[in-house]
Amino acid sequence: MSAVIPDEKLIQQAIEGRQSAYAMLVSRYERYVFTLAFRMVKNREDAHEISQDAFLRAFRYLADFRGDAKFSTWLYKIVYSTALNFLRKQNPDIQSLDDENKPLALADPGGPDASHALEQNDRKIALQQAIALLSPDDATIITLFYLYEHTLEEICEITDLSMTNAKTKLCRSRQRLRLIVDQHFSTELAC
Amino acid sequence: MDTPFILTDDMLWDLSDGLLTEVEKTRLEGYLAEHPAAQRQFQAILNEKKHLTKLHLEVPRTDFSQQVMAAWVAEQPHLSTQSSSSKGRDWIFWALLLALGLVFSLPFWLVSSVAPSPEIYQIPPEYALDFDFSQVNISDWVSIGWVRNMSILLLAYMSLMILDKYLLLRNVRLLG
Repeated sequence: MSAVIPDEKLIQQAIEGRQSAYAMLVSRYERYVFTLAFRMVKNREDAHEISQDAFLRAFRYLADFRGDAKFSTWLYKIVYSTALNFLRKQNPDIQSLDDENKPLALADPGGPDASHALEQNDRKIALQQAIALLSPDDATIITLFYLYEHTLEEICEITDLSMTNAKTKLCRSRQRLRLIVDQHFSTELAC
Repeated sequence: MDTPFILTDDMLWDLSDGLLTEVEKTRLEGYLAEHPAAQRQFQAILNEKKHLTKLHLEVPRTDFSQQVMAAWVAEQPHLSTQSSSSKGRDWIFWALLLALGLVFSLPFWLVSSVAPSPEIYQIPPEYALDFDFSQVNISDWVSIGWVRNMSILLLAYMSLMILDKYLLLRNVRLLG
């Protein structure tokens, strides 16, 4: 059983010039970086470009990484800002990356919950597809909190949100996700 | 008068995510213990959360890692495939630097050798050099303005070159 080399050691080796250390960091985080980029830009080609740019930026400034936060937090912050810059270049008029201005029609809390009727396997697939339909900010916060298991403090560091905003966004993202699942995928149960 | 307790999905999600205060958590857990329907609601949320944490990661292209490393290596001149020839250039650079250092330190060495030394430090005649240093007037050379200024500029340039080389080896760029 091979021991996993901690990130701190790989970073130190990379700063000393060991190419293999850089390669290990890429292979360790490529799927996480790509997933986060893809959730924001919704396009695989763009996500590849953003992911590559983010890794190169991270390596350029690796010597500046002080180690007071997790390496993943620092790396995801770079991914987030790179994706954000990309989206703003594509749409300079964009004011917000989430659906703050769209009314959120919540399901009747007392009514029958159609989403619970989905089979468990279908539920997972529905959630995966529903996340793709969320806005970049909603998809990002859901991904970082539940899939990457980051704390709200880490998410605040990555996205530059205040704690209150982050908590509110998480709550609304969940509600929108549930709404999408109910609207788009729960009709399958009728078959 | 106690405020009425109204259970919402958000409260149950906050409980599952560990975002409630101790007081809120205790109150909610007490409510759940007394209301089986609410417990079922909470269990459904825990299942939903389990699905969210087990969603699959997107997979980039198979050659993504290689592309990133190729782009990174292309940015790093000291990681290029011609590293052996660049090491040869490094040796030439350091040798030239040493030679220049000796040339510029020679006047100061000669001046110090002209100064009279105490008898105990005097070299015995059989070991003395034939060259008559008293004939060399070094002070005339170093007093010439352009020689002095050029020496200072050259020393400053050599210092910056050494510093740049050191920092490059430490993988840091000064000029972007």
